Amino acid sequence: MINFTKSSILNNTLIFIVGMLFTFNTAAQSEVFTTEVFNNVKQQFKGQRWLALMWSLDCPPCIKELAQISKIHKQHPSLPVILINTDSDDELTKERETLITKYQLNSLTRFYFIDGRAARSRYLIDPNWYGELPRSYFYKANGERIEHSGLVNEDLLKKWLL
Amino acid sequence: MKKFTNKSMNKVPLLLVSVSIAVSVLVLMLAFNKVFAHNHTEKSNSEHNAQNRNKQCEPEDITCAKTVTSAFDPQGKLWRIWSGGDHLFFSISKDNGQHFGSPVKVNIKPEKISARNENRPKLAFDDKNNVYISWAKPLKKQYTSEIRFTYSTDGGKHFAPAQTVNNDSLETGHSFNEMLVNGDGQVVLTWLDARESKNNPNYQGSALYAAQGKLTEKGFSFDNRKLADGTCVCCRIAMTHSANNKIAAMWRHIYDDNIRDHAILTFDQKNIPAQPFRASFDQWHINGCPHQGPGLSINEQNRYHMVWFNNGEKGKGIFYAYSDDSGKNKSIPLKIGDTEKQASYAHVISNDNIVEVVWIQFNGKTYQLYHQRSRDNGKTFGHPSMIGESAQDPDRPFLIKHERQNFVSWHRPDLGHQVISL
Repeated sequence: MINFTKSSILNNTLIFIVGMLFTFNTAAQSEVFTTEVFNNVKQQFKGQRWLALMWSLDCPPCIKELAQISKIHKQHPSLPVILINTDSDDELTKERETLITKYQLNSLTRFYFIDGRAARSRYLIDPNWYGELPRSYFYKANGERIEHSGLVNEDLLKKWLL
Repeated sequence: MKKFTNKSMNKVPLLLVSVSIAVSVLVLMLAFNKVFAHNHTEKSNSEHNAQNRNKQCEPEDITCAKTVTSAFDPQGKLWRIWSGGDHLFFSISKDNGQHFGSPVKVNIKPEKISARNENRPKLAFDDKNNVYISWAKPLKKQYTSEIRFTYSTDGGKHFAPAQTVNNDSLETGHSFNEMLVNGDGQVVLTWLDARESKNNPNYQGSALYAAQGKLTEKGFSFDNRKLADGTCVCCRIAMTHSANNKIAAMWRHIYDDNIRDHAILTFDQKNIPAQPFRASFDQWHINGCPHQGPGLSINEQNRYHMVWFNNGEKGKGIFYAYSDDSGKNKSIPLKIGDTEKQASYAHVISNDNIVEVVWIQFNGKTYQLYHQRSRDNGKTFGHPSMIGESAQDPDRPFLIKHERQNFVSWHRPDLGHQVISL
């Protein structure tokens, strides 16, 4: 009886751990953006169409685009989208993550520009991008990409991603 | 009962053990994840941590500020202001910025202050040594803020309680404040205002608003008036005096379907804003945020010197042009800086026939401050030269002048603010 109780507690513990693992994995942490992690993402999405969206808290149209992504994401949880925050300011971490939570985008792969290194991080992505936002890179299955500055309409997003 | 207690007693340690296991596993997972992430980004994170260490500083420490604003007072003393920990601070230099006195807190109640990128506090003086400061105060809701203002009549020892300049009492956007003082002591502020779009979701962009007020025994009272509809929402305004002491403003405007070019207007003799002229024709189509406002300087001959950045179909990069009729007609825009090296954030100043332009470039490793000079009122420019460098994102450079001498005011977070004599 005691053994049974012990094992059920241990079972419950395992379920709890697995549950936490699941929660942990669906609420991915945002990571510092580097060439290496970006290359990993490119590798991960190789052979399919995907979108890299750059956004900032200082950019109202970016928030509109996040809202659109959120809407599509709710219906398609495995959306091939990564989000890169360009604020490059550690003081804004909480604000940034609060917004991501508000739009329920925590499970998407997310990166942020290291504090004080905005131009350098931008340069790693595209030396011809001057920081205007939102900035979208539509990656084709063969790895080629099409860049776009400004808000992308929902129909185009759906067409590309679904 | 006793049995139950015993059973419970038996379960408590088991429960504790299981919770401990779960917590330990989670801690290990988090640690593993951190190490894993660290291995992926080892160099970046060590840089990151080094910088975080540098950020442990007092609010008055200017090296922790994101922005610094400088201006000469009528006596030729150079003031600079910055924000830290919901306070504004200033310090004064008597030798054109080579040395500054200790930081002084602007003694008003602490409040949030917008001070990064295109948004920053502004500083101005009248000829009676009154000091004026304005800034945007973020409110609770995202993208909402107020234009705030304070003044000192005793050289910065005391400041009046901060007051709100925009008169709509709406929780909406009011930001990118600019401020000038006219010869008659009228303080003029301009800003980008979102009140028009508050109840009209189809309103495109923001509106350019102005307020005007003069110091009386009762303090300040500001009227508000709209200067233009349909401005870009996220770029600074350029504002200066014309040769005949009229206010001129240049800003990024929205033309047609999200063409983000520039507009310019000048107040008339009765201080009424004239119809704006379109100042750039680069056809930058973007429903987004360029985050780069223009620069404007007007010399003694009333020549308007303008710089701007665009990434349009007809023009990419920084451009300079001048106008002798308040922006109606312009010289052929001259390309400034190396577009391949991200030439951005240009500013301009004129001093008789001398025109100076500064901007930032990024060469893949460091940020570089560049300078180019014209000695013939903007007709031709000499070769560009690099006059400063920064390893981290620097603040925008600003040109200021005192009498015949021009200076660059440039702030580099962690390194500090510097004033370079040109």
